[in-house]
Amino acid sequence: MHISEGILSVPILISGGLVTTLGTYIGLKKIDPEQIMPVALLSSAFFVAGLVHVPLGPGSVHLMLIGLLGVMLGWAAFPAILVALFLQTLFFQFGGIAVLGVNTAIMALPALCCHYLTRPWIENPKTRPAAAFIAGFLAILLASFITSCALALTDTGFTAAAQLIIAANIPIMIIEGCITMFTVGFLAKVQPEILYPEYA
Amino acid sequence: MNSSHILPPQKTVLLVAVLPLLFLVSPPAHAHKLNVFAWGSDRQIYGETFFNGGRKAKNITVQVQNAESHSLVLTTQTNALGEFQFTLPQQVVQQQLDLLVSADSGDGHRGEWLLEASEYLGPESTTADPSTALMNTVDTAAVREIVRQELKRELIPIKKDLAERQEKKVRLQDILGGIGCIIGLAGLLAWFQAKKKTSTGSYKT
Repeated sequence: MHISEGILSVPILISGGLVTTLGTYIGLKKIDPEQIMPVALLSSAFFVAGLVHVPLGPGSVHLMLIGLLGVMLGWAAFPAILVALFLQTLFFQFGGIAVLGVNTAIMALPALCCHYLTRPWIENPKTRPAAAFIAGFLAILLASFITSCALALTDTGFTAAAQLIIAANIPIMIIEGCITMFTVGFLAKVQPEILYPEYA
Repeated sequence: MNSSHILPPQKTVLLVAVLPLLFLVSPPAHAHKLNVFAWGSDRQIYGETFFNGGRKAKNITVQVQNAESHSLVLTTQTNALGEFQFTLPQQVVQQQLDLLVSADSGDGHRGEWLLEASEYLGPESTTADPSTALMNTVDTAAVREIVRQELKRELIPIKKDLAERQEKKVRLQDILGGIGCIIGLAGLLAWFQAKKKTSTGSYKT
């Protein structure tokens, strides 16, 4: 969900930049030495996932894994997404440098929301699969909403933009729900330590 | 931080190696960008819009602006094949404006193409109809004009191809380079934290 350069107004670009700066600052503060490698791993996964296009629905959509990043990283999702987005801009011309702040906020805020909303249920083995699916699904839905808001605040009508973006991203919501569910389930089996609250 | 939460190094390395590789073996990678290009002769302009990877951008708005003043010249829509065409107003042709053709898919994607006046105007487009001139006498100017128009038509597919080739393809070295950067940054952060540890005597948790 990358907004291209030349669409958003300057106040939105600045607000996005401020949110991202704040989030990244808190995220970096919260990363402790044991977490550095998982953060880098998930950042790499996000970086590469953006290249996997899903040829379903009306628009041009790709995987983002933001639900997974949110569940696993919490605030650290901000620096992880920022770095990956910067490299995507540099290597693949996704989005742009000026919209980097907004694009990071669009994807990191839903990640953070999903972290706080679903984390308690993820830690419980019974509710884990459902909670992980919801995290993956909800993250994309929230990101679609925030993107629509950003576009609506500039010029396009909110309803029109939201309909377009959500319709295009429905396949992604379902796919990411499944990916998050299986990945979290897999990690809970092979690496249960990383699902404990102290980790986040 | 409880020490039981530390990832064993071999498992971390395995995860780092395996997860991104999963994506490398998945469907062909495409960049994520809206591309526009336009060409034309005289007043008739044709164009195409597509997302990288070839997916057509259907039924989206295309705006044509004066490239210098950014004043709107006209607005059109792409068809179901992602193509569009329009006829330029007479005054634009007379003023020989460079045009900025931009497409906006409404969901945050936007692409631009600069169509220079020299590309849609023949330099001698004001001369008399070349075919009638040729009937009377062999006029080198008229022959030149015919050749120019034919050449322009023949060059359209080549121009299209060149425009498509300008788009950067996603290459494996870019992907690996990006992952390398991220791992490098992680190393940098670990180094800073280790320095902090040696100066304060303990990790900050």
